[in-house]
Amino acid sequence: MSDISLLVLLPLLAAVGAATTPRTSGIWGLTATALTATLAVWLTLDVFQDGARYIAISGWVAPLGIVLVADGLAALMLLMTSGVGVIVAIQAASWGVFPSSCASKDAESLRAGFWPMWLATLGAMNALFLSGDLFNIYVAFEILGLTAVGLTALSGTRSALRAAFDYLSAGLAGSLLLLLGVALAYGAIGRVDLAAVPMLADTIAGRIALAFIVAGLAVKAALFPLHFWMPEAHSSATPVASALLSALVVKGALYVILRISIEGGAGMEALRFALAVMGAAAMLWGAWGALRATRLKLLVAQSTVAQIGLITLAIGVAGDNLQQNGLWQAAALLMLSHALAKAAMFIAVGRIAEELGHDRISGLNRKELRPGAAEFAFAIASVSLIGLPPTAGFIGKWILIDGLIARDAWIWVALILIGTALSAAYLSRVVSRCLRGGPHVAANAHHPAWRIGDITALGLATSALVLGLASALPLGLLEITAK
Amino acid sequence: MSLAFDVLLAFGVVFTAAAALGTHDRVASIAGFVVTGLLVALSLVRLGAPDVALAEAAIGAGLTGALLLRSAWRLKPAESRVSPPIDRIIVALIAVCLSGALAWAVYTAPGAALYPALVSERLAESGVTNPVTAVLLNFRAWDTLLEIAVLFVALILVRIVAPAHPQPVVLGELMLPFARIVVPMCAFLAGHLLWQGASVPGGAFQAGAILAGGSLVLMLGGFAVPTPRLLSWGMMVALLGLAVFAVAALSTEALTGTLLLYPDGAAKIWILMIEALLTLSIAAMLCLLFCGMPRRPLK
Amino acid sequence: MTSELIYICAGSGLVGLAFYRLATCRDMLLRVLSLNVLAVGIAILFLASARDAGMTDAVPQAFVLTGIVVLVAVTAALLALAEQIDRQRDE
Repeated sequence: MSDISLLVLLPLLAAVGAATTPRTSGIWGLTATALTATLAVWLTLDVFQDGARYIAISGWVAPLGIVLVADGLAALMLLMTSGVGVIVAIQAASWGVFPSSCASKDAESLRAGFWPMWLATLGAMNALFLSGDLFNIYVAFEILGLTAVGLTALSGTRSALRAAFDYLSAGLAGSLLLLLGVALAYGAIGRVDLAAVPMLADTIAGRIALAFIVAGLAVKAALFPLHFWMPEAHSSATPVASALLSALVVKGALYVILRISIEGGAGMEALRFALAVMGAAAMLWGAWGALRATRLKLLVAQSTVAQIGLITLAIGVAGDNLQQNGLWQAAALLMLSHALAKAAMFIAVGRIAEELGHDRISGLNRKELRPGAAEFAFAIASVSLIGLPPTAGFIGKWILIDGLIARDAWIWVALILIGTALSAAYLSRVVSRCLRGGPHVAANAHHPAWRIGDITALGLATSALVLGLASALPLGLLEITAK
Repeated sequence: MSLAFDVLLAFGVVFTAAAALGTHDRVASIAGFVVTGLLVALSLVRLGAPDVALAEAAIGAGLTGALLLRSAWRLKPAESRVSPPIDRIIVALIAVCLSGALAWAVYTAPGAALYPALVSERLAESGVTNPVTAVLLNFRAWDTLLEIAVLFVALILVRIVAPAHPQPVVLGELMLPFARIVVPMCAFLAGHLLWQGASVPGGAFQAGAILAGGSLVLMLGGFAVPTPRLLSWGMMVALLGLAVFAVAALSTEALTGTLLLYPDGAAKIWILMIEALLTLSIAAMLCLLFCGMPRRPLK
Repeated sequence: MTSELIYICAGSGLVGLAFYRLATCRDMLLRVLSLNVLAVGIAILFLASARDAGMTDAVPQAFVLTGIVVLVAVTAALLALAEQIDRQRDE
């Protein structure tokens, strides 16, 4: 039993176990997530030492069979998912998935639903990252689409259910676009494995196929203008579910776009340009939405739209692997830092809402409440999201801007800087209200009590901070490509 | 001669689909959709894909139609908001351009026909002689495993969301003579399709769907009441499918060193065993997707 | 005019019809129906292009079969959500 197959099958088996015994589902969930994280670390060390690994499933090589590929990028994504997953899982276990303000009779059935969904998400994402075949990627996305909708619908409120329905419909439309692209790719070159993407990019029919595939992926990644389902879904879910959705689930689609762009070669230039334009538009649109938001959760969800735009911009301008310009590594690093920061933010927002009783931004500065650990976690995560040193977000943006300057691409640089300024603007709306002291606070103000939510949020935010200092590690990992 | 048949069939497909989508009566829409599905199944036979035709008839037309009808009675009709005609004309134009472009792209695509040669070369080693079964359960078994996981997750989702009291309405006395014929036939057909799927069109999915159909007849006729006990048994069988497949995958890896590589010469037995369990599990899953499950009663 | 072209036209016709309905209709049930018709259209297109001198390729058949099963799972989930939304609207 190799670590690669266990990375997918272990979470799926644990999901079955959690579904069978709802009362002990938390134990299944936590142990399986921890074990998967260990496997991911093991695999990464292995890849560091020996280079990329392949498994030809059933002994049949591509194009007839399916190949699983574990190279540096895949290993980084696996680590990101398991790492963030472990911490969010701890949070979910302590909260009982819901903040303590919720009625306890619902909590048990919610717990019973959360763990199978999360474990299936983990298994599906691992299958996605390791897959080397386009149709296999489609099936993994189907699992992911359903589990993400399940996580959204957990809270059972009317807005959550409506958002879940819209999410699933949009997800199905995206999947069908992806399937259509795979059908056209088959029609163009007769095979659907990832290694054949360079062949696709060389013919007109192949490029149309790639356009459909990327369009389907753009719907799933909530890329503007196909992102309409996302803000409602992420803001009406419970904080733990929102953390998982924003930090991890959208990364699956972005990863596949990145992978296709890397493999695609020179033929994909038009597609990459389109991606870059949509990414820039998403950055500005998301920032605009965040500036106008009245609720904290909606602000954080709109900020995800903006950050997805930034990552897509990075993928679009990165060009292909042959150009050796390293910009696609910036995209991967931005994905990683966004995952850490966004998960921290949503958990922190959950804690803030728990203490205050609401999540309206205008009501954030209550006189009787001193800023607590959750507010600090939010502030540190904001620093990473804006991209200030020494966070990983800064390193990613630095590599990106540096590479763009070297190519004299001033318009993109200007757009990125505008996006950065806007994110500073909308995040400071929250931070300036949360962190206050001196004359603004009443004399008898008290600190909110410490909860596990504070620790997990702080942990995630600090790792986003520290990752910038240790960024040589992920960058070195990304160097290990599959060839 | 056959060309005229094809033209008629294709026209029928498009016409019934247009009728189904165009009418305002819900039940008529769904009935039209089921007819379209059956005509599509015929088209698939004409296109040389009988396995897919079986699945489309049983699952795509049959089960989906049943699900839609069930919901048609439970859902309130939405307020009909008629868009201004100019909007509809623009969308219609875009739709026409889209289908034209798609037809052109698919027709002029060169196509390299790589797979058929590869499949026929390796068919002998796969353990079965039906190429579709070989692809599903040997060459690309990983896809099938993930597909069972999709069904599993959908089941959990329905359990999270669905009402606490599933109640397929009993259909009345006319069901008895119908059930007397259909239920034994379903059981027989399912077993037959499962067994013969190794060499001629058939297989686990088609057999499972037919078995699910028979179970639904039992339930809708009132012969098998969906008590919580029965439903949780059904849930166990449903969950068994993914568990068994995953464990089988891991054990092949332990036995032969490669994921899902069946031991030498034993491929047919492994495939048949997995298929048999999958049939039962798929039948249970499709049944439960239709009638829903109670949440754990919180005492 | 070969028979493949006929079915390709049928498939793309279904895709166009479904797209039109999706863009103009708000009713949840009809949207689910249109998505199903869209998927069936894609299935026909896939298999019509997989036909090569009388023999149909086995791998795309497996793809379409997988797609059909996945579609029924998603449809069931969509309908369960729609029913619960409706029920909550009553309360």
